[in-house]
Amino acid sequence: MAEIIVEKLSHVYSAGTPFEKTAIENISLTIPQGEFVGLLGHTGSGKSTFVQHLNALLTPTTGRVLLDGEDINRDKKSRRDVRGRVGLVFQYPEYQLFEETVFADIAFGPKNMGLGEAEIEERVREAAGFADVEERLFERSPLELSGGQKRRIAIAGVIAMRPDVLILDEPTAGLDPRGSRQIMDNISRYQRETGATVIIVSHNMDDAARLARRLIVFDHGSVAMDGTPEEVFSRPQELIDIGLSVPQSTAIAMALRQQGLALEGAIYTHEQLKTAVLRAKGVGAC
Amino acid sequence: MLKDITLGQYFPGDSVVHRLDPRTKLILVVLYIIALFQAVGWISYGVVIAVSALCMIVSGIRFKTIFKGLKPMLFIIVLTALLNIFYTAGTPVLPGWIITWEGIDRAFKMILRIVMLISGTFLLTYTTSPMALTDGLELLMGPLKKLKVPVHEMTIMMSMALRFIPTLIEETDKIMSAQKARGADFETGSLIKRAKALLPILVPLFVSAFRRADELAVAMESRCYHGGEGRTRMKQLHMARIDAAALLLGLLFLAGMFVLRHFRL
Repeated sequence: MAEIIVEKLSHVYSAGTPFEKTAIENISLTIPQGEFVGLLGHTGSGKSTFVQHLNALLTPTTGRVLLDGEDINRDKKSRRDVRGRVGLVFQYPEYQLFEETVFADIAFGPKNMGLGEAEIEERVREAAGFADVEERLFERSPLELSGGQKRRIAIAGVIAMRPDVLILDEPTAGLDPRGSRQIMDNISRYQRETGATVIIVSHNMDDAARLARRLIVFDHGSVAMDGTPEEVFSRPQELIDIGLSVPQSTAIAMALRQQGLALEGAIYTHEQLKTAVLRAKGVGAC
Repeated sequence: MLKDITLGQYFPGDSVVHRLDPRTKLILVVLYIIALFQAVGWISYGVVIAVSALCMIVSGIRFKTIFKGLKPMLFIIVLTALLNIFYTAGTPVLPGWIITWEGIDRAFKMILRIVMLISGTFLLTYTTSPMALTDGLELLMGPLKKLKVPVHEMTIMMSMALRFIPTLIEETDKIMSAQKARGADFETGSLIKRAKALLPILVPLFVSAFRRADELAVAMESRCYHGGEGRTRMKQLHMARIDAAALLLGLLFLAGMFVLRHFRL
């Protein structure tokens, strides 16, 4: 079990200097075990700052973060322990690879947790399986592989710690469509098979709409919207005002509505768009 | 913590010191250093202190800022002072003591000399943007080009190094966070363990520094950069009357110091 409760969380960078900047302000929310959350927001909206609080990399200026009812910032030990339970994959994680072999790099996290050899090996194989890292790559240097492979190795490195909560900051940034799809599929399989909580930080709306069952929209350091994809994408104009895009199907639906076509309901997948258009045109769904 | 590094930091402003041509300032710093090393007696040290304090006041840079920059040097300063106190021959402070009056005198002068040396050069980097500084340096060293010294290459390397300090600090911060997220521990354990813990930071940092350098080289070449040959500047440097006045004052100061030295004041 791993339920995250965030209470009145604020973070101010460089407090007390001329460079003082409030990154997030007064955020309260609860993320139950097993939820698949999409965290949306434009650059500088505070979403990256927010996720770094969830594994105690940043300490709240005010407010608390609770994991299963306990403050993760209690002491030094709790701050370290939480990092094994809440795995955070940073943006462009391939730049963190440093070991001589792929195997050793994936094993870095479990090794830091103080696990035994056999346990480490088991976890590395399991994580590699989830992230589609072929075992024949284990003895290669991670630095000589392709961008997509590196990214999956870095993700495996975090999965190998078997986190109850897996957070990924822009996991598909800079990858080609096939690489992106593969990574999103890996993540969604991890979530399905382990029942872990997954939080994806993104500004790619199509990914978010396809997989997440809850969307949290950040704007200027606070939560602007929080709900199911239906709820959030039924207010497309607000998303655009915040400076975000909407999924392709939502954009097409908006354009069609402007042309005078009366489409019903929230539309954020191709299926929904097709059904709505057919219904509006008086053709039965096929 | 990493953000507190003030190496080569520039504080924009509009004081007389800021407005001086970087070449003038570079020459003045050289004059100042020569003058500083002429000081032997307390009177001449007093003059040096007065002159540099005056420059700081005119520049509008606060004393606090400059002394903050001295902090990393504290160890060297204290060590030099201690060595001088204990290893100078002369009259003992108390009979039988190793500490001599001459040693104390020398230690204080040594401290003053180092502090004045560093704060004088700080005043240069605090009031001159890195770009202006390297431009000035390149022009001043221009004559060396005749001796086949790669002046342009040296100065462009310097300005790039300065330019990338903040970027690399940011990058280090990011990599540290990422490795901490994987359970890395940089704070506890023996010295050897902590040194080993730096490896996960240093390897990615070097890899990305090389990648960045490569990308930068390609970006520069694709904009037709081919060295300093025939290259013009966006900002032309001009010596003004104020520069002449400043240089004159600098020379007067140096001459004064020579006179003081002659009388061993």
